[in-house]
Amino acid sequence: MTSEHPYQSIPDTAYWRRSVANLPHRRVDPVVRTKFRISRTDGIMTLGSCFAQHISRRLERRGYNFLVTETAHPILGTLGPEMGYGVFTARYGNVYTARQLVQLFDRAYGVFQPADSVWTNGEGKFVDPFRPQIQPGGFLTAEELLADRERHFACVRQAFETHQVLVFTLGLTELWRSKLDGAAFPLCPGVAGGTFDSSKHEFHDLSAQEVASDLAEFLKRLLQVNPNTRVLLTVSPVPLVATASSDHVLVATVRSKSILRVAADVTAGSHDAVDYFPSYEIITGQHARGSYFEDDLRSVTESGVSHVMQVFFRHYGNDDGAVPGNAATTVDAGNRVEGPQRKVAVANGAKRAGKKAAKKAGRKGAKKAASRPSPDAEPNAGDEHYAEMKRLTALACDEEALDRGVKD
Amino acid sequence: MSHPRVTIHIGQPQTGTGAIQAACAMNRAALADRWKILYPSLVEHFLFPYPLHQEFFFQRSGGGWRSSQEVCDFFAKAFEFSATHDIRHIVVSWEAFFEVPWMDLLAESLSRMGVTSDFIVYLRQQDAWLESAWKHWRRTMPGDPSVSEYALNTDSDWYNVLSLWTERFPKQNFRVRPYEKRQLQGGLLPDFFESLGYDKSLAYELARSSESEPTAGSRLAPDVVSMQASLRELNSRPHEIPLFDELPGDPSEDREPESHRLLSPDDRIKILQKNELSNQRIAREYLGRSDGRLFLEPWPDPEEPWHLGKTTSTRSDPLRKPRIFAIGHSHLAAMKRLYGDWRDSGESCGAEFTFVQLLQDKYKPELVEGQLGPSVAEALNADSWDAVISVAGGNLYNWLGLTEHPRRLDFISPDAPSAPLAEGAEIVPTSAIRRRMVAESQEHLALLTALRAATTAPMYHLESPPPIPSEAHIRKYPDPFRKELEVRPVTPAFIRWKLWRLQSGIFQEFCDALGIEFVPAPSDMVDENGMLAEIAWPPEPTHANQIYGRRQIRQIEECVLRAMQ
Repeated sequence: MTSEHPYQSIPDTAYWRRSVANLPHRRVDPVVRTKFRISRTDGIMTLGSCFAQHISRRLERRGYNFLVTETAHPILGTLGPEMGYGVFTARYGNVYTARQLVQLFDRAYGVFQPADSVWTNGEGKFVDPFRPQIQPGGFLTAEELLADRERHFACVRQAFETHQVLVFTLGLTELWRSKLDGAAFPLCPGVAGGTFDSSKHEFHDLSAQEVASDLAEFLKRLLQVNPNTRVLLTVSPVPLVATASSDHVLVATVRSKSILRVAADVTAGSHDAVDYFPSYEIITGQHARGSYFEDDLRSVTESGVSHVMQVFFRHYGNDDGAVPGNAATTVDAGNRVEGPQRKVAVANGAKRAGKKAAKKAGRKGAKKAASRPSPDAEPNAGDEHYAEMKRLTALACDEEALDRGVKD
Repeated sequence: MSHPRVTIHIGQPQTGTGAIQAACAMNRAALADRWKILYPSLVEHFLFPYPLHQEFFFQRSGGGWRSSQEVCDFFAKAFEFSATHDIRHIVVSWEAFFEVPWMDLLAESLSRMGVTSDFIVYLRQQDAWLESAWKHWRRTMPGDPSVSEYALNTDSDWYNVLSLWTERFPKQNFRVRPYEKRQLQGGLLPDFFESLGYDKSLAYELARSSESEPTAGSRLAPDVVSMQASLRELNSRPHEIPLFDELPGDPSEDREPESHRLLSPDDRIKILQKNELSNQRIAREYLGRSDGRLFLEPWPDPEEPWHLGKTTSTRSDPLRKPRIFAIGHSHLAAMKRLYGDWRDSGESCGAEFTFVQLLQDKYKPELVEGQLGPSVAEALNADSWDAVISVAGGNLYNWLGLTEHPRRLDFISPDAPSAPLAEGAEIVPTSAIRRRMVAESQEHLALLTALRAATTAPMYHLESPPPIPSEAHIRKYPDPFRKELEVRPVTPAFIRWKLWRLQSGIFQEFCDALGIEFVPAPSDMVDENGMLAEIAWPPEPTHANQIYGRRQIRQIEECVLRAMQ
């Protein structure tokens, strides 16, 4: 006869055989509780490593309110995504590390002004050290880069201040940083701009404590400008392309992901507003038997992403069936608002939000950031203006019209 | 890492490299799709039609060699692309056969990547090559040497140059082909693809390519040559006029890879004797020819009567006017109308123009699968032209900028980087706007490419007229933009000027890559701010008037004259 013990009352999800080994792999669902849910009107800010791009796209496709504060000028037509517009909420490119995240916040509010401000590339064009691949072909002049960055920062501030949910995908622990001021770069200097100089740049591999500390610092700042934020942390399942440590890339990958997983756990455990979503586990777990990776064993398959997002929507969404169309909110830094968040976003327009941020952040430099001019505030006419002008120009080029025109 | 086969076509220059490159560049997508051959472009994406050769793989656009790391990066990306597109063969072409730094750069880069490449090179008989080189580069040669001085003092030992290559790469990796008509059975392109290991039919399937070989690089159309020769006949002392020194003798010779007969038989024999041993070694070592015959062209007869400028032209109308084929869209209208008026009134013009106004339905479609549409091709092939003038496209800056977008923008112009920016406007990265302009200009750039491929006549592209600076004038003659102008402001003139400059820069860059001369707006039609001079304003907002057209016709005549010189 056996006595009563705690394992007799635990749910199926606690048993490996019942919830992993004996299930078809696509039915494995490792989420057992959530701290919050996401409505279709909640503005969702995304940032993180390249895996986070999948989340942005799927949110948009599913009719959720993927928040975009930095929109491409309509003169770019459909080329915006090539230049990082609409890939994430603002045009910050991949934010691989928690260190980049906290520094992005500080840079956007003028608290941190890294010594590495502008790099050049092999073509003599200018490159932003903190988003070196954002502008194909580079910026023409340093001034152009700085003007674009100023607008970018306004959009980043607006994103931090107006979102309801922030999804951050932790990607890496390895980073290259400035020896002068600790500025963390997304890519090693010299790869996509700048010049590597061992007297100025160094490799660093963040520890679990450092990642947790960076996340805590970021949350402290974020809650100051957006007290009602809800944050969802995930860990990217994508292995390292290469490691700059002396270890084998496989060892370095497992260490890196383990550190990120621990830090995410610590952070979620110590913040009511923060939850952890196990996309890493869904993709890499034994149930998938590696089938969620492409042949390069790095890229995640569409099927894997679908599994992740099904679980995501099941637990966090108000998923009463797919909503056709794109309900994304686009709020450019100049108050332009489209989509369901119009009233909220207008109320929290960039300029006012910037002042509010300055007041709340109360840090040196924040006032300066808030006083920067916002771009034009006229409602966005999209590309219709150019479409109409193209049509009219074709009329102007009509032979009959030209015959009238050239005969003066 | 496994990678596709890599072949590098290294020239030499003056051996039909332009024809090979044009055929490969304009058929990039087909080569990749049907034959799994990647002829990579560095512009926009790997299958973009431009530029023709791959100089920019190795040299920066502003000059200077790229680093080995950059070259490795290019190849790495090409390999990555190949892996995802089932590419089995990468072909790179740049005719820098004589460039030792290139040899070093390639050797270092390929070695770093562990890549083995094979090489293909066409060699031309020295006398013909030296004549051609002198014709092509004489303006850049110090001391303005005569053809004889240049040819007799230039080292043309091809074996020595090949040895520089084989010091760096295995000799067995080089495929040497004589660039000589009788050894190019079926033509240059079939020979090229056969040398790469493909069936000759591949070349035939690359529509039109074979029509342009082997003298696609020539800037002097046969009829221009002929006309020049006719002019020479009229002059009893041609050698006192420098112009005539440059002229080839027989018009038909300009089509052939053989001698232009600029050198005397004695000089040619001296040159061939000097290089005979070298040529024999190449024939034996690279082509396995035991008889040591690299070139089959007979040596000149020392008794052959010769004098510089000899011509066999039998043209009956030496005074005929240059025939000019002008093709384009709306900016062609002013010229076309003016020319029509001249003709109707009996007024004379220095050239005979044929206008192909592509706005007319009869010329649709302009392009079919990258080649000229049937009606356009028919018009082009109706005569042999002394020059082909393009006024294609050119109004993009107007539809992007005549009226101001609700999201006001400004950008930094590469032509005036320090010019002040519009206060309060959104500063859009210039490269981003340029990207849109390139995308929107595709059909016009493709038309230029197809035209270039379809004719060996000298080609010119006329820059579109600058914008009208006056908002008052635009509002006075607003149609068909009347409704738009009622609700939108006219974009500030300096921003419209910047859009126009950006557009011109794109066309100029593509023209340079295609070997088309880009002709800027006539300077006397441009005001002190670079805008359209008032005298050229038409009663509408987006073009120029007949006065401008008149000036353009004069410009074209000047261009043709310059080509003759």
